[in-house]
Amino acid sequence: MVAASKENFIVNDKSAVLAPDKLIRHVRLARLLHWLMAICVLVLLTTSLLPIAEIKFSWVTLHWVTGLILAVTALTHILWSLFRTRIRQMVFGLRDMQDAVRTLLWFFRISGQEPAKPGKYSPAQKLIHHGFAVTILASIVTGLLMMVKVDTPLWERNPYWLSNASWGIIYIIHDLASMLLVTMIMLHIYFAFRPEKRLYLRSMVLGWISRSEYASHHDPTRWENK
Amino acid sequence: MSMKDMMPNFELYQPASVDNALDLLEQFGADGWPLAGGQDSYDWFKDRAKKPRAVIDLNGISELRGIKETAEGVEIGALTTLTEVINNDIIKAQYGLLASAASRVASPQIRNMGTIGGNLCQDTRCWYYRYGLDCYRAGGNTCYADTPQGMNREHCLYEADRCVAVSPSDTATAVVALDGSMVIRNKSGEKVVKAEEFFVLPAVDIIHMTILKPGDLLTAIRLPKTWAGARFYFEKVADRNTWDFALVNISAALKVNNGTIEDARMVCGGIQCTPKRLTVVEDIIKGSPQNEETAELAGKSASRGATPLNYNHFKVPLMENLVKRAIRSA
Repeated sequence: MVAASKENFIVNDKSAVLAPDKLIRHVRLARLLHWLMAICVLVLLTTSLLPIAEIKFSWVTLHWVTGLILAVTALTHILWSLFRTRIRQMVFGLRDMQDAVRTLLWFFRISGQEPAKPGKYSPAQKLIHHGFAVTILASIVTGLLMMVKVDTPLWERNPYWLSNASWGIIYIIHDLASMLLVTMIMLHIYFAFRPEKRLYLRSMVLGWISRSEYASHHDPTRWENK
Repeated sequence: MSMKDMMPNFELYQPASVDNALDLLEQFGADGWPLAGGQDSYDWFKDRAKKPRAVIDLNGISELRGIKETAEGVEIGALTTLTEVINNDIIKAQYGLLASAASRVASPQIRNMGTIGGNLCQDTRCWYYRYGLDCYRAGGNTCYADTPQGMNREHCLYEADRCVAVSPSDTATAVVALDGSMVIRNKSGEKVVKAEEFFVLPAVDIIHMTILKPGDLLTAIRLPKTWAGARFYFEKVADRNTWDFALVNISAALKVNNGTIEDARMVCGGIQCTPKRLTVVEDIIKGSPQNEETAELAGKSASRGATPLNYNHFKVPLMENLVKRAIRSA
């Protein structure tokens, strides 16, 4: 099984071979972008939520500058994903849906059929990724629009650029996205530290998973891009 | 929003001691409104721009009144009226700057009722905010004054951060110039903060002008001996001399020895959301002779970093000239 998977893996993704017993799951740029975005999101949440919790400090400039860094990082991630990586690995398709149903049925003991091994990303990982993508992009787009309302070295503020009603919608989307991010980050961190998931945390830090982890957690026929 | 004829309903509490007042302030939190002279509060209530559930009338608390000398200087009860401050012999003799500033507040009738604590804690006069619009300071998400069409003649030159309101207090500049401290009490105890740290910029807290939180009470103002008997200058420029808020005001305290300025504290009001220490000016004039040349140089440097809005460019030369006059005349 291991031999077969190794052969299959090498055939389909030679760049992923790091050492005989290790496989690269996240290349350096992917890890860099992930942690940069994570830091940005945490800074953004901290700078916006602490003043509400009565911890007062000058937060606006730090908030929008960090927001710009997040926007650039997210854009880089999107472009890199589109052109340099196999984006289909992250697509949530019909088979992922079937896998998710099968997992739920097994989890609730309705079915005895064990969950199928995923490819590079499990349905849950894909869903949390897409959840982050939607909320972070919503935050970025609304945040960029809101920058019209603050003075920057490049332009003077203009609160009349949109109607009050439009600004209201933008604020609501931005705030809801922030609240969702808090929830998703809690989930993300919880699962990252679960014993059976720590290999993914390590792979996001060091880049690799062991070949035995690969064999026990993943279906080699589904890892590669098809 | 229109002015209403009737005062809205609220629960009125009249505590007889500070402890009693602090109990009430804690009980009502943000819904409680400590009332001193009422010269600003009643306008807010009548305009329905502020709607406290409970008004805690402090006027029955005698321990909040009066001026007394202490080993460190002088302590002024927050409920001391501005007229009492103006007429007090210690203040007149040692801290004439505060007496001058207090004497330029509003009208004699208002000074008879208005308290120094109330004058220091008063909210900004930005008319968009006062009108009841949902601006940043009112908890909304826009500033109506800092726009291409906004009427911002009275607004700030420095430290605008979404909100461009300014501190309207005349006595605040004097207390900061005299290196005063604020005594704040709440149910947890007492703390003393420097006057400079008492006022907050919109970048830090866009809703409040001071660090006072619900449950806090300003009980006294302390002035140290450090600046007692120094040379002082206060001037306020307003649209009307009889009764108006400052467009720009200045409080200066100088220690001069043989014609040389040994130390100085200069504070401008009406140009940012807090009384602004003119530290650049202070650094320039320290060690310099008190003459026209120093005044000119300091005046030119006074407005460094100012970013006027559409309609308040006039404040830049006004501020520069006030600095010159302060150095010439202190």
